[in-house]
Amino acid sequence: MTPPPHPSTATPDETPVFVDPSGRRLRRVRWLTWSVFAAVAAYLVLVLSPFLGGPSIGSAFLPAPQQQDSPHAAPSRPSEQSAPGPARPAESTLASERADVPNRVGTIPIGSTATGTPAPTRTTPPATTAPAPTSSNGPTTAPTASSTDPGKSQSAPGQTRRPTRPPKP
Amino acid sequence: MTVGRHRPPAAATVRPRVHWAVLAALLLALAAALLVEGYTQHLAGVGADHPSSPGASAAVPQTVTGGGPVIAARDGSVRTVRPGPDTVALTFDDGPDPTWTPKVLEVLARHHIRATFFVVGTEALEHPDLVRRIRAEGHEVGVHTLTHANLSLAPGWRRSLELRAGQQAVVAATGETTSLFRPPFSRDPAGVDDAGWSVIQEAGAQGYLTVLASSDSEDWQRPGVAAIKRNIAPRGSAGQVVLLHDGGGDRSQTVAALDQVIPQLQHRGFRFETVSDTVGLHGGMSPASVGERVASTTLLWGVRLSRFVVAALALALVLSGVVTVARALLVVEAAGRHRRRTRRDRSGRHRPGARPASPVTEPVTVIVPAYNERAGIEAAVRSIVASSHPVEVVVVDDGSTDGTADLVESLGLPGVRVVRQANAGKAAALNTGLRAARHGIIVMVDGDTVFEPDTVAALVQPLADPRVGAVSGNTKVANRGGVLGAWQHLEYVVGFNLDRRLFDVAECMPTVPGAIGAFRRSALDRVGGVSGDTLAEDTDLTMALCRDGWRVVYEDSARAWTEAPATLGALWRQRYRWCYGTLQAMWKHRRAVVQRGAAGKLGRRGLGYLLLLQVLLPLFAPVVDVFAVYGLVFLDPSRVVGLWSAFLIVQLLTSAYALRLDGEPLRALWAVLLQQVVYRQLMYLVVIQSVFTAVAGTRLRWHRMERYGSLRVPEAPTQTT
Repeated sequence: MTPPPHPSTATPDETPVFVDPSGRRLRRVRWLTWSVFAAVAAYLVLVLSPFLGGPSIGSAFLPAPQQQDSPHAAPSRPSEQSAPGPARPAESTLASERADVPNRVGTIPIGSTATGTPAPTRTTPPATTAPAPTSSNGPTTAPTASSTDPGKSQSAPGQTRRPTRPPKP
Repeated sequence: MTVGRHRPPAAATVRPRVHWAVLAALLLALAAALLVEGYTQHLAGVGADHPSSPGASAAVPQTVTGGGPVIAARDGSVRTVRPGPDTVALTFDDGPDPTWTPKVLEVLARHHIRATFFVVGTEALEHPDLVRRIRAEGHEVGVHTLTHANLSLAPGWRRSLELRAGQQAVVAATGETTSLFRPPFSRDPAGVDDAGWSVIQEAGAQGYLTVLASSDSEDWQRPGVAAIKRNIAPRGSAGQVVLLHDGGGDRSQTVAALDQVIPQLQHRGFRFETVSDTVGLHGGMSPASVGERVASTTLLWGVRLSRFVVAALALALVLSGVVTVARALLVVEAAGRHRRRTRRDRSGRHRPGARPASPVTEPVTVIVPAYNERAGIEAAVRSIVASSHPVEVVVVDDGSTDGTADLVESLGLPGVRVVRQANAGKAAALNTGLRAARHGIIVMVDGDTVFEPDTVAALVQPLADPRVGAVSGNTKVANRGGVLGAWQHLEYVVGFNLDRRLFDVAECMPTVPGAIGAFRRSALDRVGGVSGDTLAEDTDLTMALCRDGWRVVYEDSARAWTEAPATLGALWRQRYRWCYGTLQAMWKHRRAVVQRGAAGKLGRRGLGYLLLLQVLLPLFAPVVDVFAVYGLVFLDPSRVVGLWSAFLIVQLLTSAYALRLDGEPLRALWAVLLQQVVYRQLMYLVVIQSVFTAVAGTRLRWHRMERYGSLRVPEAPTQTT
C-alpha cells in the first residue's frame, strides 16, 4: 500500500531527543553535581557548627577575693583609675563602687564556710549612694557610652588577677 | 503469557548513578534544615516560665543556697556575690521581643539606667538588631540558652549545645561574648536543687557566671502593675537582682510597672546598674575573636537559611496539596461528564468519538510489532483473529532471535501475515507494518496483549466520525495477584478511567497506548508515520496527531488485557522507559504550548497536565515524605496523621470511582493503603532518574530495544546505539 512518507528507521547517526553525543551536558551536570555536594556540605557545616565547638569564654571573673584584694586599700585601684580615668570622669563612680566590692564577695573554696555579706560595709554605701540619684542622670550616661567601647572592657581584665585574654589596643 | 525473566540491571543505565547521591545529599540537607527549624522553633519553650518544683538539694553547697545570686563555680571553688546595698540590677529574660524589648529600652533610657538582658538564642538570631540596640544603649547581655530549654532536665549534649549556640547567637548579634548565664526556669539561690546545681557547675566549667535572681517580679504571671511594682521594690536597702521579662508574651504590665517604680526607688536612694557593675565584675562582655564571630555568623545564616528553606517547602507542600485535590476534583468531574456523554451518545446522538447510527464495519489491519515475543505472541494473535470484527493481522518481526516469526507462521492462522525485518526498533517495525497494511483503519497492539472478541469492533467505532484520527482503548492488567499486580491494576484503572476521560473531554489526549489503539490511515500518513525520535513512540505519535488537528478519543469498552511487570526490577525498567519517553515526546512537541487550535489545546492542557502531575509533583514527592516524618517528630502528630489521612481518603474516593466506572470490584482498594510506602517512592524515583538522564543527555542502551510489550526484555545482549 502507500508507504508512509517518513520511514523513520532510526539510523544510528540520528540523535534521539535529549541525547547529547558531545557529552558536554553530562560534564556540565557533573560539575553541577559537585557544586550541589559542596553547597550541601557547606550548609551542614553552617547548621552543625554549634556542635563542633562554641565560642570560648572565661574572660569574666568576679572581683578578686578578700585575701587577694584588701578592702578599701585597693592598691590596684589607682592604676585602674589612671588608665581609663582621665578619659572618663564617670569612672570614679565605678571605682568607688568597686572599692567596696571585696566586702560584698563571699569567697568560699568548696568545703569552707560562707562569709556572707559583711554588715559593716553597709555603712559606707550611703556615702556613695547619696549622690547617686542626682548624679545617676549625668554620669551614668557616660558609662553607657564607655561600656560599648571595646577598649574599655579590655582595660578591666588588665586589672584582674587572671586575665585570659590579652588586652587589645 | 509468562512472567518476565530477570535481567541483569546493567541494561538500565550506562552511567554511574550519581543522581542518587545528589538526591541523598539534598534530602540530608533538607533533614538538617528541618532539624534546625524543628529544634529552634518547636522545642522552644519561651513563655512557659513556670519554675519547676525543686527536687532534692543534698548536693548543693550552702554557699550557694545561702549566698548571693551571682555564682561562680569554677576550678573546684564556689563563690557567690550579691549586689551592694542600695543597688538594683534589673534583669530581663526571654527576649529580645520585637514589641516589648523596645518599650522596655525606652523606659530604661527615660530614667537613664542600665540593665541586663538574658536573651534566648533563637530570639536573638531572629532579631539581632534588637540585641545590638540593647548593647548600643549601654545594657548588658547574657545567655539564656538557645531555646529556653530547661537544662535541669536536659541530657549533657543538649546542655552543651544550648549554651554554645546561645552564646553564638549573642556573638552573631553583637560581636562580643558574654560570660553571664541565667538558666531558664531558675529560681533564687535558695531554690537551687541538685539538677540546677549541676547546670550551674557545668556552666561554670565553661567559664560562665550563673546569675540567678534574688527577687522575682513575677511579671510573667501578669499579676497587675501594682503587684509587679511591689515585687520589684526591695525591702530594706539590700542590693537585689530582680527578675523581669521582656519577651515571651504580653509585657505591658512590666513596662508600666518599671516606668513607675524606677523613679520611686531612685528617690529612695537606689541605683540601677547592670549585673556586672553591681557586683564589680570585669569582662562580663568582651570582644569575640574573628574565628568566633565567623562561626557565629555562620550559625546565624545556617538558621536563617533553614527557616527560609522550610518556609519555602511548606509553601510548596501546600501548593502540591492543592494541586492534588484540584486534580481529583477535575478528573472525577470530567470522567462523570465523559460517561454521561458516552451513554447519551450510545443511545443515538452524535458527537466526536461517539458511536454513530451507522457503525464502522470496514475491515481493519491489526499490526503486531514483535521482538522476541515467543512467549506471548500466540495468545495475542489468536485473540485478534477471533475478533468479531473483520481483521487482517500483520505481525512484524523486528529481527527476533527466539523464532517468534517462525512460531506465528507455524500457527497457520487465516488472515495472518508475517513480515520480517532486520532489527530496527519498534517505530520502524510499525512503519513496516503500515506499508504492508491493506486497510484504511489501523489497530496497533503489543505482542503480549490479549483482546476480547469485541475489542476491535468497539475500538474502531469512534472512527466513524471523520474528525477522529485515533482511538485509545482500555488496557487492563491481567495478572492482579500479589501486591505489585494489585498496585498496577489500580493504577491502570485510574489512569484509563479518570485521566484518559479527562483528556478526551478536554480534547488533549497525549497518549494512545501501544497496547491498544486504533488509527486512521490517512491521519498517520499526514504526520509521517511513526517516528523513532523518542522511546515512547505511542505518545510521540499521539501528540503529532493532536497537533495535526485530529481528535483523539477514549473508548472504555474496548478492553485489552496485558501482563504487567511482576518484579520491581521489570516494573522499574518499564516505567523508566515510559517516563523518559514521555519527557522526550513532551520536549519534542513543546512548541504546541504556543500554537493555536487543537495543537494549543494539547500543548497547554495536555502537556501542562503532564508536566504538573507527572513530572513536577513526583519530583517534589520526596520532600513530602521527609516533611511527614518531620511533622511526626516536631509538630502535632495527630495533625500530620490527619492530613495524611485526608489525602489518602481523596485517593481512595477517586480510585473507588474509577473502579466503579470500569465495573471492577472495590476490594482492589486495599492496595491504595500500601501504595504509600513502596509504590509511590518507586514512581517518583523513576521520574527523578528520567529527568536526570534527560538533562545529562546520556544515551540509554535500550534506545532501540526493550520497548516491545510491557514486560519481556530482549534475551539477546543489547548494543548501545
